[in-house]
Amino acid sequence: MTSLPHFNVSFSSSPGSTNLMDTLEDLPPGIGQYDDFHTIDWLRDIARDRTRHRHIQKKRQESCFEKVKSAHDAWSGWVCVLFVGCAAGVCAAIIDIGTTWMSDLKEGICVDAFWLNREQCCWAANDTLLDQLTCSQWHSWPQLFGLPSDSGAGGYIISYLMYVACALACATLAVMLVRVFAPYACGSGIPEIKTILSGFIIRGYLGKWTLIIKSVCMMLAVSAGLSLGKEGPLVHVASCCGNIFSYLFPKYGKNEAKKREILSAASAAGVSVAFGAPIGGVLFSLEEVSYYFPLKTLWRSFFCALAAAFVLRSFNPFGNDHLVMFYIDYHNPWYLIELIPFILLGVLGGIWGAVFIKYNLKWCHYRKSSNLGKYPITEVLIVCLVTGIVAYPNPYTRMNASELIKVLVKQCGPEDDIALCDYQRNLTDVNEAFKSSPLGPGVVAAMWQLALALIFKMVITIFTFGIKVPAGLFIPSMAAGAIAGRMIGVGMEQLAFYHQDHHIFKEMCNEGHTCVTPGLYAMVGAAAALGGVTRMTVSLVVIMFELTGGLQYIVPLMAAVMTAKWVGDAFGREGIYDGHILLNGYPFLDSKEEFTHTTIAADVMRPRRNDPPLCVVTQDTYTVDDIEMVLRDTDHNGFPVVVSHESQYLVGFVLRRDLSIAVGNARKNQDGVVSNSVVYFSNHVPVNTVVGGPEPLKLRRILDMAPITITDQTPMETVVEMFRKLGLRQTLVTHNGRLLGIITKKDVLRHVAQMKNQDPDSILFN
Amino acid sequence: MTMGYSQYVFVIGVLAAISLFGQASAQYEDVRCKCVCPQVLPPNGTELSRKIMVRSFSDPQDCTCENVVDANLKHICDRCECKWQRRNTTTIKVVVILIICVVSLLFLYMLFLLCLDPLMSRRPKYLEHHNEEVNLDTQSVHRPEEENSTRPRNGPITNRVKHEVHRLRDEQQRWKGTVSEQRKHIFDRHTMLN
Repeated sequence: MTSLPHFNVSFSSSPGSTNLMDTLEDLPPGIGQYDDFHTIDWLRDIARDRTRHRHIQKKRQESCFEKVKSAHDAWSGWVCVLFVGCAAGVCAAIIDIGTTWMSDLKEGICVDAFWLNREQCCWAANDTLLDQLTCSQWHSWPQLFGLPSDSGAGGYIISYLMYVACALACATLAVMLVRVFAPYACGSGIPEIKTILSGFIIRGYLGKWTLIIKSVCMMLAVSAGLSLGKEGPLVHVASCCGNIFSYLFPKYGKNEAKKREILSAASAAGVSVAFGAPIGGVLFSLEEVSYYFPLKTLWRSFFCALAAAFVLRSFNPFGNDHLVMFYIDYHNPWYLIELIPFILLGVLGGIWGAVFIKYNLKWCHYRKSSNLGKYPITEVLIVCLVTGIVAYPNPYTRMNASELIKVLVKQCGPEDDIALCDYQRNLTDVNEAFKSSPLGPGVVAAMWQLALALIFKMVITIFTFGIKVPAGLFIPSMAAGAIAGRMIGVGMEQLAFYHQDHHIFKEMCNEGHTCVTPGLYAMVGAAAALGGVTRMTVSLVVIMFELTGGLQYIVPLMAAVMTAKWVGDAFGREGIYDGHILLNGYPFLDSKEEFTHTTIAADVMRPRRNDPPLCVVTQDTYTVDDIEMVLRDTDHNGFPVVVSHESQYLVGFVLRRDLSIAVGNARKNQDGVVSNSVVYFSNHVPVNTVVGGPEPLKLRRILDMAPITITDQTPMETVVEMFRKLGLRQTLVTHNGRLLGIITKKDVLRHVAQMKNQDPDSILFN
Repeated sequence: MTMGYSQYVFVIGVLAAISLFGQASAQYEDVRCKCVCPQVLPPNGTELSRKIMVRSFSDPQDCTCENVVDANLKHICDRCECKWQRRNTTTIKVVVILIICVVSLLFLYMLFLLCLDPLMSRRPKYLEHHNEEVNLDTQSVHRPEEENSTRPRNGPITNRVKHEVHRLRDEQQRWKGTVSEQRKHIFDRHTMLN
């Protein structure tokens, strides 16, 4: 059998095969693949991979070459994730460097070396006065236009105009590129990745063009100053890398279920490079995006995340030997009493998450159903214009959101002259420790600006998330949380400072550091806000902990994130990604929710009571013509095969796509197959007695002989569990051993929606 | 569809050429020793105006406060924190130039698709000629400065070139089909990515 390469020969020569397809090579191309917007059958794909694997194992003894082939097969998964990790790391490095450079273009340029951003431009200059202000090589736009300095009204107006103009230019370019080259590149991508990983096919969603356009437009969109981040889209970019590299290895490229193992690992690499948190990335993949996550995938994800972080680290994109812009490096202790403000931050984060989800979904629904959706480019431009105009006057909204988080989570050190660190300190002695002090006018002003910035960020993010540019949600929600956290932190600090003698605060202030670290509050606030929006817990805490590198802050982070999740769940069960999955009607069967209704399979199965009977194919009486008529007249995606119409005993299940390809192929390539050739799905084919009669067509190879069947009295609880746990695409319903009907994933999704009093027609795809 | 690859090759070529033109000027060192000192009034009256002092040493061992601050400020060195840091400006330069190239190529191709393409499809007799140009713009951009001189119609058109052009055009058409399908899903029917 192994030496018969042709389709027509191999059909008649596999008597020992118990299941479909031993290997794919001897079947026509396309069999076993899926159409666009279809659900995959995990069981079938995994069974096929096992058969393929057994086949290779069997052949291993034959020759040395086969041994090498088998070894290659064994390690190809690791090699593939290594490539994916490296590619994700390179993409992230390019995006990081490009984003910081492009963002700073809004304010000026480094004249001697245009490729450097402001920080890098002044990196080695000895005339840099402060950490983030200018040096002589950095020329702001008014200076480039010949004005002496930025201080005058003219300079301010020119800066303002150039800021808005650059932002508009970036946003226009981003939205146009998305529209012209790769419409799938817009949005965050995580809801779609989740859906794809749960076993759905969206062709082109993880393609080359999506990768290129998403990477480029992500930089443009972030530099446009829009309230969005690049962390979520990096997961999509990494998944694109995963998809592209999986085609190098047919084991993964040709098997959709196996490909999802690579994609799970890739999404771990995406978070790994987005936050410099390899373990957080693995947990993110496990907690948030993946559907099928065996231990093997866990280890591969771990390795992939490691490779990605290593590559990114060797690029050193921020010039600070860290993988993110906003790492922190303080180790001040925290006190038990501070858990109260941390939990308060968690509550605020949860409320913010619930409000954000509600209004963002409402706005997206409005965009989907109204005329607004017809003007995506105008919408982006208006949002960008509003953001630019409102953001510029306030220094905390003017700066890039990552930079803002960096400023907020920092501790005030001796080198900081920014307004946030303007305390009334009178350091006369160089050896004096840096202690808490009363607020200076700078901090008071900064608090006002931060409050305004918080309101602005909260409002504009609702309108920004969902516009047709690549847009992530992590950074804006973290920024909002960090602002709130810093404000509460400063408040706590002053409270402790003015009541130092109170027994609660006594121990907090008597050591050689500030009473309270406001930067830590900003960190906790950021985690809480992100937790409220995405409802992640473990992975979020680990990401944050990897960012900070301080084990001692795990408890505050855990307290805040857990509170945020509880409070958020009290207002609405689903996180933002689940909300968007529901809004778009993707066929995603959530494994988090429980199905507790008492319906049975007979209530859900098709055909319904008054419908025409189930469309079936018999195993040995249908002719090619009959099959073609069935294919033409119906649009079912698969057909049960029965012994006869009278008995309705089940033989197997054949997919529409496989059937039409096989019949078409046989018509073209196989001699003697004509319209009245009988199609045999059975093993036993009668010897052709009539000389010159039509050659029979044997299609046993494409038949799934082991379809999952249930009886019509099976409770839907069990059926839903089966669909979730086994990843079924459909199950056949029998009664007294006879075929009665079929339940597809779409039927289950509709039923679940109906039971939750939602519109069952909102499930759009098959 | 193969455009991305060709671009990549082209850009690598450009970058290789650029990186031959020497390194960034000495101002943009790749190492620095950065000392942060508290701002205090020194006893001898000279005011310390800067809190951050930077100097570049290739050896991290040299990065001490004594080597960085001015002679009259040595007494504050107890309170200074010095860090030796490293970066790679060549990587930054290469990456930024690569980004500029990719963005401008995409921009030009987009302009072409939006402006010239509709015009040409109305006048089919120019189709062949212009599509060659598309392919030059997008597929074989290894030598864009020589684009005008190496246009295939000037030389003898072999069958192979013709075949290649046809293949690329088919591919481009197929790609356009998929993109417009995606556009329909997202911008017209709003079935995805809302």
